[in-house]
Amino acid sequence: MSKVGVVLCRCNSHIDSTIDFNTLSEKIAKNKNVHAVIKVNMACSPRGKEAIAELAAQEEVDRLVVAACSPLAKGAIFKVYAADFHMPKQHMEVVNLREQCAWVHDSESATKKAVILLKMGVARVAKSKDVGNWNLNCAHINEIKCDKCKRCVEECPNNAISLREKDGYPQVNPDLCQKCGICVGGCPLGVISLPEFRLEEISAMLKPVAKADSPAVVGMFCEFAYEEADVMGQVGEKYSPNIYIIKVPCTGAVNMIMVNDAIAEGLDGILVAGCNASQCQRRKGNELATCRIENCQQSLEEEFLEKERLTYISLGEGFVAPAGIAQERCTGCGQCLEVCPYGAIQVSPDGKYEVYSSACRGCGNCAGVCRPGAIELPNWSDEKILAALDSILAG
Amino acid sequence: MPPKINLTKCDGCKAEEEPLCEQVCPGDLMTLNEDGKAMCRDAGDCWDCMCCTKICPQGAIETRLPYQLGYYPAKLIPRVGTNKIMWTCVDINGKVERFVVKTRND
Amino acid sequence: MCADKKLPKTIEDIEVVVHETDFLIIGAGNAGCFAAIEAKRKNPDLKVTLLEKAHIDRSGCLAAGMDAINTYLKKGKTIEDFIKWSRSQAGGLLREDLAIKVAENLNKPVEEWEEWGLPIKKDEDTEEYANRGKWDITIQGESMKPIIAEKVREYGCEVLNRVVATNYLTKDGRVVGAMGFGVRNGKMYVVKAKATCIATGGAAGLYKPYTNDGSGSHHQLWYCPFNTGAGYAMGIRAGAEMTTFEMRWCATRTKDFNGPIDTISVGYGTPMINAKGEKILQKRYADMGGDAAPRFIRANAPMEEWMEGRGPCFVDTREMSDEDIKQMKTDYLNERPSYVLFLAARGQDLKKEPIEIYGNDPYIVGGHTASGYWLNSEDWSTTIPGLFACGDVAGGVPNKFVGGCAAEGLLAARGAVEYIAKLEDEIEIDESQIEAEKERVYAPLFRMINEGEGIKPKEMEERMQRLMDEYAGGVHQFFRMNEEQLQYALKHIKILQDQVKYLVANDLHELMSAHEVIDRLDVAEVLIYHLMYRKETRWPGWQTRTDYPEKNDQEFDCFVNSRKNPETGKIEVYTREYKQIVPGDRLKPN
Repeated sequence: MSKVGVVLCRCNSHIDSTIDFNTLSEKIAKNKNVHAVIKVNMACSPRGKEAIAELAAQEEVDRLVVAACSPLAKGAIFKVYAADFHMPKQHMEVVNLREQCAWVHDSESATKKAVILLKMGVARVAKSKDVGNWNLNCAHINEIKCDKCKRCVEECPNNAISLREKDGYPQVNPDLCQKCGICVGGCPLGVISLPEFRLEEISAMLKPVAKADSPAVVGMFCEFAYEEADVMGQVGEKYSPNIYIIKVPCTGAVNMIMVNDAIAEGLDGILVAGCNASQCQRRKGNELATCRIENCQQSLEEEFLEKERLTYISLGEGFVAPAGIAQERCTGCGQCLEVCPYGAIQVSPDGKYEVYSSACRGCGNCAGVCRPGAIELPNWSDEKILAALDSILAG
Repeated sequence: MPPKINLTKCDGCKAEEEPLCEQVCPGDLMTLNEDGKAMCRDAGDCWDCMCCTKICPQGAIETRLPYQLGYYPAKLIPRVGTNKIMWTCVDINGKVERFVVKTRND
Repeated sequence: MCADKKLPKTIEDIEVVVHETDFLIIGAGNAGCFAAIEAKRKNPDLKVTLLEKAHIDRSGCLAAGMDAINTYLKKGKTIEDFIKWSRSQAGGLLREDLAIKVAENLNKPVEEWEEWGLPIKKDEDTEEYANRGKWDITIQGESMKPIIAEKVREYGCEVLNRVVATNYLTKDGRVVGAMGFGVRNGKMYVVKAKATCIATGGAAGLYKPYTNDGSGSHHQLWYCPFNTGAGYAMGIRAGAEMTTFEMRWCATRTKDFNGPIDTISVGYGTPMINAKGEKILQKRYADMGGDAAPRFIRANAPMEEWMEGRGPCFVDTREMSDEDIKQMKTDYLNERPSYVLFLAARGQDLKKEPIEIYGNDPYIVGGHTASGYWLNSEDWSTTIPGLFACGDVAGGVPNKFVGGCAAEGLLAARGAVEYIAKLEDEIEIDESQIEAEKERVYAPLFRMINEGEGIKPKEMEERMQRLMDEYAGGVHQFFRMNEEQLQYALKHIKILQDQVKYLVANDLHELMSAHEVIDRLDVAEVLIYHLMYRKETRWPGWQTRTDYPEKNDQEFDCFVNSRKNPETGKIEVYTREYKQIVPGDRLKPN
């Protein structure tokens, strides 16, 4: 059985001034998968890293959960630690106790929620597997279970999946795969995984949520929506603690099998948050997600369950401020037009490079290649997510 | 027994050559009709094992009993998870019952 | 639809696909899958090929799952205990040598299945498998078939889905593979093999089910209606020795739905009652053990009550607690989910209305009775060299059920692997067999194209089913038959066999149906011979001869076996001695 080492980061009192670390460590130590629990002052500091290294070095510990700030904040650093500890990336989970817990809830609720979030993290890494000879840079299709229905081939926005000549099984081209997880979300049998995103892991995370105080809603937030949720924490905008957010690569990666697990476990709702359909950074993830969700909502009604239990919310409604090209700095090199995946850069009749705003999805590829720095990206809107969260949790 | 197909939900498994229901039926009874939607060749030959109903990713298939055996309009709807299935059963009087059945070890 | 494009129009159109393998397993069901896995475990270098007429993930009896393993040796129970019990349940007739080996291997496949993912109910305190009955444990088997199918693929076996096996390839009295056709692609498959194992299950649909009134409930059977006795038929045609077909499986089932009843009666201890509320087994069969009476007594009891005017009969669920009822429905969802729909479609409150029971149409099932191929206990081979058998298609061991069939898969694989290791010569086949089979298999298709008319497989199936039901002891006759009825049945089965040449098929699916009827006719013929030969009633219900209502131990305390001579087509029926190994009274369970 996997043994997990749990690291609770005080974040220099940012976290533990709200969340009661004693309660937290007591409760999580009782978990059968947890070997040891340590508290550090700042996990991102050299001292913090030492302490975590010591924990990871313990013979019995083969999984780590670092409960600290957002994985999109310093949390990214901990994943780098994993390499130093010779621990596969998927064996380590960063649990967001700061932006999405301590900073947005009152002490009692934050502590209770922290326990659940920690349990979710532990459940996930306990389920993570040694992926052996999987290619870590692309999706993996389990041919033992695959039925060759070819849906993944049809749905991949990057045409990264094709059929193998000799036996008709789909295979992923690692050069084209963007690890968006859309294939993971669409596979009817759930046989596709990313090394760090597997159906079984997500399902394992749902069990602790089922035990939380009712109503308990799980949030499947795509990376961009997750960032927005972090922003709520950064501005200190409080909301109801009944939502437990899981970061997914794209809303298209949410497989309805996960939704089925959630409902079977007894969760009250599933909130899928992502971008507006035309703004998906992964090109089609949201369209597919909304289709699947609409279908699932219909089934929910047939089963005498409220269709609102599964809801999709999107950021931005229709118009999203596109990238802008500052003409005074533009040198007309045309690189932006070359790299734009959406054909959103055009040359006007008088030779100016302009952004075609309806097609722009704010992916930033253009800004990335613009040497003179003439291209600017807009920010996202977080009013929408606030309002939607409030309404779903009020219900 | 006759599996009933919801033609709006069914997408013929993206009209690939063999939709999932056709792949799985132990009696070789499911196939695509001329419009590229699922259909059961011979309702009377169905064993109501419900494999098609469980595997359909769109939830487009409903298993019904022949009227000879059971009255209208009872329903039994599976919701398939990774290692469990939640069944919702509605009887002819409208009573709703739910069951969660484990299908694989954790 | 797309199948039309694949339909061969002439014999020259037929594409022949030839495969060569070491170990060919026909039928990728429970037994077949375990045989494949064991063969690979014994020798990973062996090429193992499975032929499956459906899809391995959900083929055969376990398509919807299973809610119990009815043969598991629990702590404190010995192999002798098992033999004695099984023997008594079978009216004292079983191959003790085979049964002992099966019993030795009963537990392993179940434990492996659990390791691979099958949830098994455990006792909370002891963490051992929870008891459901004497030999039964409760499982949550909805996905048990996909679980072993995945293992088969993991071990690197070749699976040919949607290929219907039609006959063995034989050479010099040996089985060297099999032939069949693809029901999705119309191709002919010829698989050469060093050793072949038949694992196609039993035979359903020989008799008319009582719900088959033509309005859409044709396949409302307890047994899998897609197990049509192909394995028996192929063996019969090749001259393999068969045993005990007359020990038909006629059981008590839920009325109309024809669903399993053990879930309720064994699982929750509900008594069998008649219309007057009397506990049938205790009242009328106390001398045969009451509630613990042999299976054929329990199977027949409700039918006798009906005949005597005390029907309908029920299993009394009215005293069950709400939790138990919910749990029982959950158990059903594991193996026959539509039974829960059936109860819902009647708005049935089990606390007010008990579950009605009735007998089912007879099946030939080697997993429940001793019907099937006559085997050699050394290596699970049949009487034809190169051919092994396991599962419901193999005979001699009643009360095998799911666990025993899995165990037989292991045993047959071991036998085959050893046989292959000893082979010295190359496999040679007789090309003329392929040509002859091509003509035989595709004839209905070509008849439709050339003549445009003939008999549809469904029509012939209906005719056969009513014939068997009325004259060979079907459910409408309360399983009773006499010499004259059986002679009549045989006469008309032979006419039907002769009429096979008029069968037509419009597409590949109908072609498969045509062969299902042809195979069933061959099985029915042998069945009638067996029923005629045993001039006694050994198992009332399973085999009730109204003209010989008593048991005749002097002449028939033995096996009734048969063999069709492949040259003359004549069926020889004879007896084989009973060999007792485990001492004790063969009719008593202890």
